Amino acid sequence: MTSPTLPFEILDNTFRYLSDNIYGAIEHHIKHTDLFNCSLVSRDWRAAALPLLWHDIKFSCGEKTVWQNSTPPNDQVWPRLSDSLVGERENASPGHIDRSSYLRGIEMATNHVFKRCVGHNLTAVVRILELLSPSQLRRIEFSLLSNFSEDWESHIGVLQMILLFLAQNIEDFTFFDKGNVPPDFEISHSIFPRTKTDSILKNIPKSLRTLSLRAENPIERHSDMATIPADCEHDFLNLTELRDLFLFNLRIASDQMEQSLQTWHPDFHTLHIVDDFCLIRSSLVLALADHCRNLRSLSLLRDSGIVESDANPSEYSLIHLIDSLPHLEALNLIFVATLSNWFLARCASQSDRLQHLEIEQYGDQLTGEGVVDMSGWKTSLKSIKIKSYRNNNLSLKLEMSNSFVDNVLLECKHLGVYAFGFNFRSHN
Amino acid sequence: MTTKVTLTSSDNENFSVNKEITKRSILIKNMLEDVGKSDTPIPLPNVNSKVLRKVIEWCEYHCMDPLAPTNENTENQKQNTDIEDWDQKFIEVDQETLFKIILATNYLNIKPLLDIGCKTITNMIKGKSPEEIYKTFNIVNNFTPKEEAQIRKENKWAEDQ
Repeated sequence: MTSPTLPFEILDNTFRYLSDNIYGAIEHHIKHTDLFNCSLVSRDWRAAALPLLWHDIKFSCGEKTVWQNSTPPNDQVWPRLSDSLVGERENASPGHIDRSSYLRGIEMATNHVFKRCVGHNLTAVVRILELLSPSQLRRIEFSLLSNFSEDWESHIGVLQMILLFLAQNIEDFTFFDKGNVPPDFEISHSIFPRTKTDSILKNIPKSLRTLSLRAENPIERHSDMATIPADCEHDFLNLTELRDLFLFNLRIASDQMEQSLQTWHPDFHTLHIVDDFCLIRSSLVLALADHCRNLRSLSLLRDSGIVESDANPSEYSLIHLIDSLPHLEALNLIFVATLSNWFLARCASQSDRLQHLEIEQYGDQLTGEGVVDMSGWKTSLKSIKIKSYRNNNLSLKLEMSNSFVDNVLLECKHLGVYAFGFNFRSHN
Repeated sequence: MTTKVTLTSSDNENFSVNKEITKRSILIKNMLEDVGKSDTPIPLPNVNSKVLRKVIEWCEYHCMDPLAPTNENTENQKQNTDIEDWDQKFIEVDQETLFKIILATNYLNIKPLLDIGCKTITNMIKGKSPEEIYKTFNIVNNFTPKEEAQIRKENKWAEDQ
């Protein structure tokens, strides 16, 4: 017996479960995924599958040896793919919706350690981009590792083309500068923001809701090369739609950031900063407390090698933060402050939305001694990790008060993961 | 005292159901808000009694669940096709009934049950070739030879050369 036919919206809803984030259009076709197979079943099924099959495309090039868990290199098919898409557009009958018009997300992952990228292949990417309308893309993700300056120029050129001509409605932009890897595979040196990448910062789309700028390792700490150029200093982070921001090892002046965060969307809710310079300081924390009232998740991280920094946010500023952000659900403070039981007591009694707390620091004042009021934590806290080291020495681990630990375990019924001092435990 | 609402299936069977339970259906919830206080049965011409009985059974079991958020962000719901045990048992029906439940929940606008139905179909698709999918769902391949040739041409770039 034939089952009733399913309408488009139900097929669409069904196929969404098959369109995971692992595969883009190229992998769906090469690997003949379930979603690809659905596109071959019937007219209805094809109509519902194509927009999902072509929603994202992941261009990936480089040597296989440096691939870890990401998309394997697929640049050998780029020229054939571009011929196919360009041919479809040229021969389209009126009303035909071609495959490239479904593209919303573009990823480009480059890892060239031993051999340069093949220029002809990159031209194929440009031919595909030329088919797109200025308003169709929503997401761009670029990650770039190469030992060849020509690769940097050509790939940054492609990104520039997208930012200048195809970025009207971009909501999500990630740029990951993986730098170059010396042939002996010693530490990689990121060169972000190098001369060419200035143009990226200048052209960051104003429509962004999520921005992630990431450098693998900062270059020599005091080099001028690792500073944002003066002419884009003032407004590249002034983004009125911004909800989530991730900055890794990017040298930005703290006062610039404090100005910019006042422009972010009222629902700004995630901030993640990894910074070994002087961005993470009291004035930034106070500005966040005063202007980002709907912040849900805050992570401030510094390398454990930065033992003492004048820029450390004060305990007062972090207490003010706790008091000012009623919706805070996750707080990670890794080697950015020297907190005491004063902070812990305030946090435990006030933060009734907080689900995840992680603190790692140098200092000997964060033991939990005398912290008894858990009326905030007991409503939501699911994980807590606190580690301190005495005398700025990673081998001198500070023990926490037993009565504090017992009290947390007794009061916080939702707690699943915890580490006090150096005992990691997990319920469930 | 709980208020009852009468629902009438396409084959004219009446079901007296707690008003709160019927509100799992956004369609009925909106109808009740529009009509205000009324004892008039609500006709559901797109749902037969067999399917309506199943849908009410699901709504009664899930009456304590928080109401589904109304945002349209479907991006986050992707990937996870796990179905809870009770729902899994509930949805173990013949394929015709499964499709009818899905169509009914789409019409009644009961998103969580619609998702369970769609996930069930997804799980039936996984790992199957197009030919196996035809057989599983009794689908007629309605591509013309010309369309099939066009699709082969469109996908040729991905074949080994």
